[in-house]
Amino acid sequence: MINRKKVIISIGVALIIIVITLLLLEKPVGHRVNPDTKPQLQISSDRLLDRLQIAVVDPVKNAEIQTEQVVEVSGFVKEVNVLNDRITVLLRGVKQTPPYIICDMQPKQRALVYQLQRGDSVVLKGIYKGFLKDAVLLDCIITYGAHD
Amino acid sequence: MQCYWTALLPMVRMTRKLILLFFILLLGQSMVAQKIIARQGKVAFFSYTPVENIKAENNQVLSIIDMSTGGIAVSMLMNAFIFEKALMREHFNESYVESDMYPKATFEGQVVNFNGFTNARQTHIIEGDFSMHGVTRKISVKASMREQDDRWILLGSFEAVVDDYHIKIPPMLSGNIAKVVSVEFRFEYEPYEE
Repeated sequence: MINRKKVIISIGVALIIIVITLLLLEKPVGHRVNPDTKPQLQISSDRLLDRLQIAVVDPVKNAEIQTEQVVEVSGFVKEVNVLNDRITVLLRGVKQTPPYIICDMQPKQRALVYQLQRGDSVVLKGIYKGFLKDAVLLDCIITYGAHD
Repeated sequence: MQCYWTALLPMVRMTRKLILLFFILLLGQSMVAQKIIARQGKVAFFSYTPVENIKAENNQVLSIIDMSTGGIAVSMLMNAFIFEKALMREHFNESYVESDMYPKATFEGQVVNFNGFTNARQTHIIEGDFSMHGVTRKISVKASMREQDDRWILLGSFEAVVDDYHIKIPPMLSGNIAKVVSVEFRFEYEPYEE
């Protein structure tokens, strides 16, 4: 009798573990960046872009900027667009010319992003993915806006 | 003194003409050599199997076209692909494409019989070298091109054999990943300020 109970309980526990495991495997991609996330690097857009351009020639000098780091960057809004059905903010430095910082914004940021105007000073936080002709940050949020 | 300057006048006129001709040629050269750039190109791939369908997209793909030659270059960060599930993204970056070792995929090629973009949609063949995971393969891609509102749109698709790029799928997951994945791309170009 006792053994039967133990068997049933064991099967029940095993089933619960299996269900939890399956739920975890099916876990959707969450957002790594939120207002409380501590950035691993805080930098201006001018400095970030200068360092990344130098790093193209000399990768050793890019040691402080690693991919997958949470980076908080301050700059000026060059453009806001919804290309590819994504909300994207392009940041520039003091100069109005490329390269830029392409920030793919979290969908919840839509209302805040639409308040931004070209030339606004803003601080964004996101995950640094790399540099092509521009720096790429994903999962971005606004941490300081022109209207604050 | 006046005779001296009169003698010099034809030379001054000739020099001015030569300088003008030089700048016309320079301007003409810069117009012919115009390049266009897409900073937020989109590349998406799809893997369909009975076990699972996987879709990922990258929305920050770089592409440059040289309008004078039809040369085209594409570069994308492999870790910038967005997946529906966190585990898929981890497997993709850590096990399949090993994005820490091979951070970029690139394409360098040529639009065959390129005559520029028009307002009407035209179909072209693009041939070139596609490099991913340390392997380069020659590919030929059909793409449609058109000019629209001062932008140039390029879109198309091709299929990639996973095995061709030495991407190792664990036997346990071999049923989850298709042997051939469909790749679609869309680039919206603007004039390139260097």
